[in-house]
Amino acid sequence: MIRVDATDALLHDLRNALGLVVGLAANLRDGLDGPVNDAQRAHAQRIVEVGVDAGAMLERLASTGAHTDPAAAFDLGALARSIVGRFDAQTAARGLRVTVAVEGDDVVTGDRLALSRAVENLVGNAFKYTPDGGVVEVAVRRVDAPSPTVELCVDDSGPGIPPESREDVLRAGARLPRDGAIRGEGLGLAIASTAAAAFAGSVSVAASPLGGARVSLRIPCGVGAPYPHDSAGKRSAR
Amino acid sequence: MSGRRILLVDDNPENLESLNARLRALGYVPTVVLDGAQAIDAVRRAVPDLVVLDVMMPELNGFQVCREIHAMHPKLPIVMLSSKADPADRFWAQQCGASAFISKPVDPVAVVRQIALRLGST
Repeated sequence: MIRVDATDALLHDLRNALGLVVGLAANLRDGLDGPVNDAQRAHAQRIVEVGVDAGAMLERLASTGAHTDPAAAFDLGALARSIVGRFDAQTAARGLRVTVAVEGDDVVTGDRLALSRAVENLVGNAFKYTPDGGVVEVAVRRVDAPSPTVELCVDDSGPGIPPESREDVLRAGARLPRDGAIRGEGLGLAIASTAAAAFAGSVSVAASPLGGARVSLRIPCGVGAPYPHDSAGKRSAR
Repeated sequence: MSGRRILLVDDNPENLESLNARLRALGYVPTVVLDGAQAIDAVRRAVPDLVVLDVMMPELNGFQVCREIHAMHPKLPIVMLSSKADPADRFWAQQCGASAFISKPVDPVAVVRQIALRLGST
């Protein structure tokens, strides 16, 4: 007999719902319901990816922090390219100039899903705050001093972040007064910062040569850590 | 793969909608049944080439059905497709004779790949 409590039942239903979404999106992507153009195929693929990722997040929720993803080595540059690619439609529609420059193929080790969310938040923020026709540049490079580190920088030509607010914006819920009209909960940089800390890394904000913000995420090469948890085994909400 | 018969078992047929459509498009012949008893009965009447089996079902759960079908036809591949991902479930699936255990949500391409692999038609 399989024992199921209310939470298990809810998670089961959520996974089934996600399974349906993923399955139908995959069928659309693969043209099972008729021809699709490249943009439609890319959107359907994105739904599949987000659905599968959401399933993995649910799995973590179900485990209440008792498990973390086994550390996996992965290429941060490849991850950055993949995430920027998710914004292709927006890039074209808004006339943005977007580049990704990757030096080397250094790997970092750890929770790929957590870092993927971090990078997606950094890139998503740059897109959100850059005006139409502006520039977003993503660069991944190795920095050897003071210790071997992989650095991902996201530069934009948006309004930037004033020096006095650059630490504040890394905290959950922090938003600049001028951003009131732009949708957001002030969580993106906090999520990125927490994920970076789980890799023994960091996120910092500076001025970009493009005139907007430069947000840098630094992760020690080849070293990682599971998601941070408090003493009760639950994910830390820092 | 053409004509290979796949028995799909889930108490919620909506869960199998996309896989069913995909298998048909690829030339498989899927049949859907809605509970464990129907699945066992279907296998008794006509042995399919492969079974895709949900875990969480009323009355007979997927593990029980898997064990029963495996006892009848030890070489019949059984792919368990579950909305549970607990490592214990994976273990029990293996103990019950399942050939593969896949957690949802999953890209159905991966499920079809497993099916093809189990049928030796990769």
